[in-house]
Amino acid sequence: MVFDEVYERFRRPIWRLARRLTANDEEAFDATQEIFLRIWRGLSGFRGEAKLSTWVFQVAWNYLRGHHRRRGRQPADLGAAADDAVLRMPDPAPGPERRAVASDLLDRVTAAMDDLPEHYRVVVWLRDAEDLSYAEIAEVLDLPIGTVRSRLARARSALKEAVDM
Amino acid sequence: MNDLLSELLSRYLDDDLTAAERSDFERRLEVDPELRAEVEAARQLQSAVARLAGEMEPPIALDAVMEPMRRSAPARERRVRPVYRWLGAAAAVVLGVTVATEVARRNPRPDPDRAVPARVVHQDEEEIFQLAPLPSAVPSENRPFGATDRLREEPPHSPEAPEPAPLEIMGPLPSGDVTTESDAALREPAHKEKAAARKRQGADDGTGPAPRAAGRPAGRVQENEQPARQKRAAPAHSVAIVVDGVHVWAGWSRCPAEDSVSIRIRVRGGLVVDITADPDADHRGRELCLPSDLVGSRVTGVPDGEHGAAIVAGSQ
Repeated sequence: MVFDEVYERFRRPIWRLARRLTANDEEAFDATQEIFLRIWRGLSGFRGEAKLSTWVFQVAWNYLRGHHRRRGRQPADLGAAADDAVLRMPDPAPGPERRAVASDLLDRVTAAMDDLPEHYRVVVWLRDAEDLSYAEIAEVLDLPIGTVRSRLARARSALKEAVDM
Repeated sequence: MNDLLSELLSRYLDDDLTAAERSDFERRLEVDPELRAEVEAARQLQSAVARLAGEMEPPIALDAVMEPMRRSAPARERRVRPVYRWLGAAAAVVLGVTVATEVARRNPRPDPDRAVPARVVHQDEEEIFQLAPLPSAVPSENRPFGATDRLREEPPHSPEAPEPAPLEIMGPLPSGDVTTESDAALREPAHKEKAAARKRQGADDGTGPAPRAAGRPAGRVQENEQPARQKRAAPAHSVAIVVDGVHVWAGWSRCPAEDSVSIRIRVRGGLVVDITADPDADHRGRELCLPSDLVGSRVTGVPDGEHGAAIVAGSQ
């Protein structure tokens, strides 16, 4: 498997996951680079025992898990953002100001996702955004499939409550 | 809604129920309008998350930063059984002792001309990237980088020069580094450090360095002592290079220490820009504007592989 193909196939999913699990675009940008660097290093050792997508998401999750705890969860620094390369890009994750006035469902879902605990957020994201099966999610997160089922149900309930639907 | 029903609903959405569970759940749906509303709301939420994902696009700069990795293959690790490793090491020791004994016998006095150089110069460990406008370069009003840093001094360009010398981008560098070309410490990505270490090891044990990969452009790099492995929490900095208003390069790098960063750019062998940070400076968004006659110049850089940053130029 050539790295370039892997990058083309997973650049969006990995960016999205990184963005969902980090505090702002800058951190997501750094994290995405780091994840692909790890994939680049590990690709020659990938023997195909797992699906490529599962392995790639595993690499991503192993890097991203606990990211907020390590870095301290902070909203995007809007002052610094003025000079920041990636923060000039369309922002899929509104900050607190936009969150307050958000009336659109998508904005509310975005805000609610950001407020979910990491272990809920990742399971909802892998299932509903990236369309991974329960078995694949279990493999990526290294959890029993029963735990994935119950955690996903609780995460969806929490999300629904946060979105106020 | 209790946890059991909530889980059944969640699994119903994902078509994960057994036939019996599904049948029970659907019977319940028929008589429970509240549950039907819950299912409907959950479906809306599910599709909203999917739509949200569909609207998230990675920044343009990501492709540019990833370009060097996309164009190079990772070094394959040789898998050597431990017993062969030990045998190889023993053979190397025996060979080394034999060679050393023979050399000592033939050269009883030290020869000053054969002194081991303090600094090893490698010719073939550097990536060279083409400096050309990125295909996806964004219009100047939407450029991701803000502040502009004009060239402090531009060396005179001789039009009759057959080919411009490389534009070198180096950094980040440790605090307090001397800003002379000979002493500039160049950082290499982790995989290159390992390759260089293997090469040094090969030179030490007489096997010599590995041959250069075919088709790889020649470059020049001075290998000095590598700075110590930096801690990962250092802040990120970014630099963009603009030629005639078009972004040709954007890269991110990690500071080697919390309180310092130094990024140096050389054109035709002369020091052009030397950004050295102080603890309070924020160099994110620094933009370096270069004259348009540099289009087509070679760019040499030393990516910071440890943190995934890269030296990048557009490839056309």
